[in-house]
Amino acid sequence: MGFRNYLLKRLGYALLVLFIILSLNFLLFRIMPGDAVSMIMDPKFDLATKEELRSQFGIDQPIGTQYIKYLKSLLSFDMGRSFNTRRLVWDELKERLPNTLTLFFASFITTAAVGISLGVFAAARRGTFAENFVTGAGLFAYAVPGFFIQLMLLMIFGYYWPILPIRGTMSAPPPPGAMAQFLDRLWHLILPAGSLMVISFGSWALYTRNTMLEALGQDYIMTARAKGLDKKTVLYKHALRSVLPPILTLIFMSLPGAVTGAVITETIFSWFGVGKYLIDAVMQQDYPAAQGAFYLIALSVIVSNLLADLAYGLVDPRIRVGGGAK
Amino acid sequence: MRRTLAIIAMVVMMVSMIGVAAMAYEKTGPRVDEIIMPIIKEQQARLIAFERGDSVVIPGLTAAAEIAKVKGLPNAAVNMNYGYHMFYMCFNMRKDPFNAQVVRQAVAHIVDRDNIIRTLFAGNMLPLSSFVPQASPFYKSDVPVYPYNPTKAKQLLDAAGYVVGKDGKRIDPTTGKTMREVKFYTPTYEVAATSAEIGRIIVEAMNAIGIPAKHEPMDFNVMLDKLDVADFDMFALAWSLSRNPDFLYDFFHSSQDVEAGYNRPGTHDAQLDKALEKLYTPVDLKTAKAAADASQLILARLMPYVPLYSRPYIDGFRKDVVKGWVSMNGFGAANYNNIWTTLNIERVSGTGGTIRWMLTEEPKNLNPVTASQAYEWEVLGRVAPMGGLRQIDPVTGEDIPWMAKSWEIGQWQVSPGKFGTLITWNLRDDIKWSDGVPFTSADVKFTLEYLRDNKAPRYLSATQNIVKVETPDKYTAKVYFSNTSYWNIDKADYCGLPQHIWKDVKDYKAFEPWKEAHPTVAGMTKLVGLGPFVLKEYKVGEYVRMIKNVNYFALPTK
Amino acid sequence: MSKIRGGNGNNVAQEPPKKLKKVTFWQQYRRKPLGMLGLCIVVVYVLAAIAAPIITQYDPTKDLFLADNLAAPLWMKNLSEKYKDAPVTISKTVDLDGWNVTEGADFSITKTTYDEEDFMLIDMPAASSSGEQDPMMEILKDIYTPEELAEMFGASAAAKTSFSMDFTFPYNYSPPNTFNFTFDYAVEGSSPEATTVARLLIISPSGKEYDIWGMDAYGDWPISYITVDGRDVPVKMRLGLGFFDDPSKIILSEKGDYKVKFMVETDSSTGAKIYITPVKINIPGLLHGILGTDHMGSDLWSQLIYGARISLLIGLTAAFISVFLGTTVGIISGYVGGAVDEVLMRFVDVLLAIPSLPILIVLSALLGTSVWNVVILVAMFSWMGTARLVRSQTLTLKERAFVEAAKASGATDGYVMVTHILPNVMPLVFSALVLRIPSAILTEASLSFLGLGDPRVPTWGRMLQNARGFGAFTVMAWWWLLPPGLALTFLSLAFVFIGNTVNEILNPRYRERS
Repeated sequence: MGFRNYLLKRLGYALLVLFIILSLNFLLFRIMPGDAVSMIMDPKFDLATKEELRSQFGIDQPIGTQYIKYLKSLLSFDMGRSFNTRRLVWDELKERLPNTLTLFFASFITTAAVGISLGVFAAARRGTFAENFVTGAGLFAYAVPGFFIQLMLLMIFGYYWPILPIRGTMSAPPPPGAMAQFLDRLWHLILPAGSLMVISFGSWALYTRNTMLEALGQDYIMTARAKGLDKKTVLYKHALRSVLPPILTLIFMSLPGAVTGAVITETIFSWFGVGKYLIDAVMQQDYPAAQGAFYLIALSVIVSNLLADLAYGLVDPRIRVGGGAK
Repeated sequence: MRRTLAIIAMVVMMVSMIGVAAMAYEKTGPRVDEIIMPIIKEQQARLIAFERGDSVVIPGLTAAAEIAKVKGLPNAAVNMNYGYHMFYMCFNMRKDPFNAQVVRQAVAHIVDRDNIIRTLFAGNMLPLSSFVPQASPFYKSDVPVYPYNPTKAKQLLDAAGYVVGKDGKRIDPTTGKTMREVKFYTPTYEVAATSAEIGRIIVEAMNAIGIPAKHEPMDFNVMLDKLDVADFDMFALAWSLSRNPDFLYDFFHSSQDVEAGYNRPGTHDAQLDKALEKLYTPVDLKTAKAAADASQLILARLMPYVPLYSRPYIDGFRKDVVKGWVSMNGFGAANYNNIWTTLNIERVSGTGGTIRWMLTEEPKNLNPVTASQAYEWEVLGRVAPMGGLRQIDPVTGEDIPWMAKSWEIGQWQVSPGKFGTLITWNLRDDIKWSDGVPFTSADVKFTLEYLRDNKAPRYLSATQNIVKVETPDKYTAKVYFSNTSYWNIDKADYCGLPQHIWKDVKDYKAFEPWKEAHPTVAGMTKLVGLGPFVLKEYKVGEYVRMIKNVNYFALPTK
Repeated sequence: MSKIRGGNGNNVAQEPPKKLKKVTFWQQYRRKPLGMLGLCIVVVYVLAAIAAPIITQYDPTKDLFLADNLAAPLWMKNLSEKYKDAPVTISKTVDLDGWNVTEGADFSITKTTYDEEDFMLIDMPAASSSGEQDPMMEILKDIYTPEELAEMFGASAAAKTSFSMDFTFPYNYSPPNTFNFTFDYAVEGSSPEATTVARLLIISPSGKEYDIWGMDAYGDWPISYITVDGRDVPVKMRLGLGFFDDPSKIILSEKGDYKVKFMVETDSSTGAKIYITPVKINIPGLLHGILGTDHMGSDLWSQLIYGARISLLIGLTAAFISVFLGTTVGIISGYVGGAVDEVLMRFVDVLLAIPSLPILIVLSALLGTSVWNVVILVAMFSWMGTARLVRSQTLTLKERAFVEAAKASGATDGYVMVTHILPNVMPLVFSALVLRIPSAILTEASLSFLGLGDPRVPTWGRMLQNARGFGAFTVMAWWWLLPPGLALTFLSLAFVFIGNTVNEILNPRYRERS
């Protein structure tokens, strides 16, 4: 009962946020000065042609009509045509989405793997270099500008010591053969995904370590120890198992951050993805494209927030009962 | 007079210095089997790719650092050609102070083109003081120019009664009051740093000679809105012009001084109007040339614009890998409009093989009816060009026969007493589409009528005056225009839509021909064209790959 | 990245309020080495920000072309073969005393001013037909008019007066990318049909002559502002070079003493007064200062130093606004409760759910890229965490006896909030403020890096953006990339150290935050 209420509440709330973001998205881009027609003008267009273009882009209608049309169309992923390319924004986003997801999962999995194992490692060896390293890495993750690390890595491994590709998701053209293509992709993933890992594994490691230490201080671990179980068994079987749920929650909670963090990474490594699309569209004042990209990013953040809330609710019963007033 | 002549001599010399050296080129090709075009948007990545040989052509160099880098590579060759670009500043001649010719001339004298080009572009632009770009065959080299000389500007103003007041600002002789502060609009520093900087420099120079001025960088769209209703004093922007100078009509004819019209300075000059009307619809080339000359002379006196510079086409080639590119004024050596490079470029090691040729932007839209950007045409122009019944000779700049063996320009009677242009194309009989279907006059008719009937924006102004197209036989097409103009020949040169593919297209805007399989030929797409290459693969965001068109009519004979 | 949301869901009852003894706080703080380190770093930055005009003599953005674009730091001379003999900017002015008159030494040469500018006035006497003239001329003169003579024999037919002078400057570096001479020049008092020809030549140590500038004046010539630059098309043309050739690479390819020669020749029958200002020479260096120059020839070291000002300013202001907002909303929400609380907290939830970097990108593109827009935007999207924290603290404080007592004694809500609640949430607010600073600085840097910062303000993010966009990679200018990145890193680390230390001392229960 409690959980269902909680779930419904979260779901309704996610929809509310979605609606607000959509409206905001619509309004923001209406404030923009000028209109599409003035951007694609040709000296030879006469006024009639301009009007024709205006109606092609639907910007001659009253703003209310435009808004309703906008809401309807976005729900069906019809984001209109890019001013710039005259292609459907959703088509363009669809081409980029797989790349963004690839980068996202690759970096996410490596970050989580490295971060969690280092955290466990540090918790197991209190007071050693390993622990200091993890604490330092956590601090580093918080205070160092990520794009700076990425730029340095790009300069070192892309330019100074050119062993890794400096841009793109694949060679042009990729080598023949499925296996070779897969490896080619991996090779192009190393810098962007690797740099994302370098930037953010610290906070994971630190969180895991802290949670582990908290768990190790709990009574039942003490009991297990007192029972004479060996250190390793206590650590990996009992402590680790008990901290897995909070870490699982953390995974979901970091999703939004990882989604938005990809914007800068894609720009630096010219990764053909949604984040770079947003930046390009904003720079070129291509509203439908910027709107579409922002909508997609916002949507993924809302969904991952929802997932995080659900995971949190499942893991932490207090939340269910408390009903969200955190 | 002698003084003017001295300056003219310099300009003429410059043209000769940069003129196209006669280059050997063939009218057949292509000489490579495959072109791979990696899409690299970032300047630095492009340079690295070029340096490492990941791409042997680096087109459209603009940034000074980029040019310096390519120039410095021992195995690279750089080629420069005049383009049709024009950066200018425009006066509002409708209100004071720029309604006075002397004030416009004075401002023209304080523009230090060399300094602007040197400091902002490291010398990589060409100073421009004419209203028709140098690359055009209609460019008139001996019109009076206004060399940089602030002292001269001051003298002109002093002589016209614009004396300097106590506060250092000049006094308008007509009102007796200090001149009002004029605003100079440019795009913002974020959008176009150099344009904004030019605004700052010129405003500083204007204030220095006593014309009160203020620089106002603003959002591009806001600026265009203001220009549409003539709410400005002066602004700076760039045009991308064309070979034919009929654009002068749109820019300066009094009839174009309407809201959102292109006569932004508001020129109303009876003499100029007469010349421009001749220029807009000349009956033949001779009239066109005379009208263009007259218009340029009058404009040089009127000074509604001050032309500043023109961006040349600068392209880099790895000379250790490729050879055979053809220099061509107006388009540059690596531009899609320059078919000669596309046909003649080959590997140093011999014909055949692959070359890698950089694309600087995503081509995105490969539908020839809707594609609007140069990057798209870099691909389409080689695969499915829209025109090409004639080509431009790279050395003389003249039109030469290509897919049409010959053509005639005549007249027909539209209605009693009213005449229109009639263009007759005599097509070659050995041309095939890239899928092997013969190319006939029916395709010319189809293309022109399709573009006209669908009101495709890009072709609207070209096709709106076409009344009908007749095909008396398979290789003759007659295009009837409702008006008489020599320029109509360019408007009749569209033939790139294969009827057998496009007749079934429902919504031309949504049609993505490169994504749909060809109805009969396996392994091909619906992007069927008349170009020397065939699109093989387009991996969005990564690369474009095109292979030799085996059905191309101008293949070199073995 | 991994913000632990709701990490303090269960509020532990707060100790009864006690007076904080300032002395005690400092004594505690002094013992924390990391806190002290952070403080020291911040002090260094603040000093650099205040003393920026003293530390560096250049304006970070307005002083352009101090050296060539992308000049390397001076010390690279010792590290890299490439920069071993690279030139340092040569900039000098040669006035009347610097010139050595080689022809026409007997003419009257005076210093004068015109329009508040110094000029050299060379009074060239009327061209005389001296005995050296071709005797044929004397005969022909009676038959033909001077114009016809000139046509037949060229300028040599007429009598001429010449003047020339030169000066020497040493150049002992590898060739620069360009050179630049500026001066003003005018001719006065010449007969109308006369031609006065002026030339500027460079003579290399080995004696090669390069004719880099010339002007044929017909009659009087108003003051012209002359610039002769190695990048100018007319200069290349005079030298017979192509568009892509660099005159400087050819002319200045030798090492040794170069001569610059100014020559003027007139056939005026009334003589001519030649005005010429002191000649300014500028050879932009390929080495410059502590960190070299950027793509516009601006000093990178001064950009780095002034960057501290901007970063501190942005960080502090954005953090202050953000924490102010957060505290206000938190206290009101927590104290007033009910519907107000519900609405405010839902609003907070919505804001938290909006992806912050994308919305900042979109908004800063829409609103225009000024520093204040960025500050306000960063603040607007970062106060929610503080609001939640303060709210939960307020909720517990509300139940405390001293608040109840104040309410009972008839104090208004506003009064209670300001005098009772606010002081007690201050420790929390203070550490939130300190910890908010680095993230504000980093957010601003990210926006600047993406090209959405204020282009006229030298921030570190913009330095990094410029480095990426304008060629730091292709020339391996690590001295352009590393300093701003490290400056950002150390500054944020310092604030994190301080924030954590303050938190440890003031809010021992809230330590568990990332």
